Amino acid sequence: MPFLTFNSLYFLIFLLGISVLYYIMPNKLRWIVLLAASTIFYISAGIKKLPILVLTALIVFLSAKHMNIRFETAEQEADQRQLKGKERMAFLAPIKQTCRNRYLIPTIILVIAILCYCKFGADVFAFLNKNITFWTWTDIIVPLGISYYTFSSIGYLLDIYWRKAKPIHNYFKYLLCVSYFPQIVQGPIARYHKLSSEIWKEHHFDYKNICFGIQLMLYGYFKKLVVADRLALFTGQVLGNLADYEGLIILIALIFSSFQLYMDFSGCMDIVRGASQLFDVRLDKNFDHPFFSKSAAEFWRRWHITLGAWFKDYVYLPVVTSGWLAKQTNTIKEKAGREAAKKINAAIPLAVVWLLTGLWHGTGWNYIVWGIYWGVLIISATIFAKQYKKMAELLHIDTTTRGYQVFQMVRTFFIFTIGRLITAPGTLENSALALKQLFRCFNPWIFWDGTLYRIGMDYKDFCVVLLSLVLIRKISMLQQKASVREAIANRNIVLRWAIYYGAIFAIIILGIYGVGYSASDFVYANF
Amino acid sequence: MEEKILNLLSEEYPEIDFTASDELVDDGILDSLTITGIIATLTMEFGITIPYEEIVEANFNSVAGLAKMVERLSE
Repeated sequence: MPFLTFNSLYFLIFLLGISVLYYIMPNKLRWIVLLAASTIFYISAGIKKLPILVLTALIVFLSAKHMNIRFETAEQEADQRQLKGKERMAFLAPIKQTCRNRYLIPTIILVIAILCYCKFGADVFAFLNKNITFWTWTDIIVPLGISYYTFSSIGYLLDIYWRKAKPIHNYFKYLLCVSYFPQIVQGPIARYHKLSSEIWKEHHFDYKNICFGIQLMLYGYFKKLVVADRLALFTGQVLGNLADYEGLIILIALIFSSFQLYMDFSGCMDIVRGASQLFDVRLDKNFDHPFFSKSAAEFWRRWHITLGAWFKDYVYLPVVTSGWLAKQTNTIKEKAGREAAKKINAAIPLAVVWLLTGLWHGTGWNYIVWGIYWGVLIISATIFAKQYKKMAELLHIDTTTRGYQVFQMVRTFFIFTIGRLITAPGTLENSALALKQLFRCFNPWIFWDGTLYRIGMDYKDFCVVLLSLVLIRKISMLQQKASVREAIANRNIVLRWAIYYGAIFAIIILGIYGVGYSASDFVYANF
Repeated sequence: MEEKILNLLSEEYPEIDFTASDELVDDGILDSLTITGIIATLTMEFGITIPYEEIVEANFNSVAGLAKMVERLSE
């Protein structure tokens, strides 16, 4: 069975078949169609991957269920005794401790251990294979979307533990939330209470929904096949052969690599959300025009939104509210004063979040450095906010002008591009080589002597990319004001269908398919 | 208590009008970084620990909500 990757024809046929079956079935049974579809989709990536997913989901499901039973029993007793406030908290405290020690912590350790095995296992086994003669086991099974469903599962357990959500009582329904096929590969990272309320709401066949879903998918395919995969031809050639290129070519490759990542990931999210909308299941937005951000912190509120929200709810705020941090804050206040305590208090949770964000993206040193890079930027912007403001006043910089805001957006884009310099070349050694090659010479003649148009992309490809980026920027600006899909839907039938046909033909004619067609994998599918 | 917290926060965040809304979080006036700062300020000022369960919009949407939370945790 071929893997039903989102940019394959098999996936489109599969999606069409499932959509028809979904609406033929009675409302109550539609989730079973989605579960079957998700299982087939998962098996298409390799049947060996399925048992790990099913088993992890079962362990998390049972753990959450038992925690909930214990909490509910204790809460009923507290209600009967009419306990309130601190008395109630004191009564429930031992139950909470039991749940934490018996269910929550062991289950979280187990799912993180599976994640670590999949992420670090290959390196560890390669090391053992090299150094221990009798060690021959090198085969690592990496389940599809493991980083995404591991984070979702931890979120689910913590929500039950903190009594912020009710558990799902049917294992197969829970399994569907874990494995829901549009989002298993690249997210968005699911919040079960939100996803389950979407899946099990009353669904009706709605032409507008189908239409909007297809439109969003087309836009995603345009971003991926026309722009990202075209840019990949250039970036792959330059960043894969750094010693052969220098000066502005390296700079252009890094800038293209930033656009490529955005078009690839956000394009995939459009396909995912559009595909899900065909089933009338709305998924969370993962992007909100991040290249319009005026600061690094704002950028991360608009880029990979569900990952940022996950870290905020399950790492950042728990660290902020931990007794340990409160104790440290008070100790620092006594020793170094209130201002220092406030700064340290703000820095520690952000440092933890950014170290983990780096590790989530990859296990190499380059990702750890990348996490530290973003962490330092955001921490310094947070703790020196007042000083930065004073400096702008001293220098008489009017931060409210349009010109300054454009400068802030360009600055954020370059901050992001420096981040790409750390990760896109693959290793820190390659990043150092890219930096060295970047400053080796200043070669503006590449723009007119034809050199630039012989590196994976020709002159026509450059024109297609630039025009596409202008078009996408225009659409993004319109999206900030109103729904573009609504605007298209309100146009007359001739113009509407002209837009649809234009989009379809643009993808078919301008998409990068190559000989035998094997489109690049989605970048974030590796996480 | 309410007045004390209002003075404390107004001094700390002069750019924010804490009386402008009863839905400071929902209206986007307080972001997560500001909430962190408020938690640190209240922790230092009142010697309390604010548990994660208390980080709900109802407690941070207004100064009155914050005052009630501090009173509850100071008991």
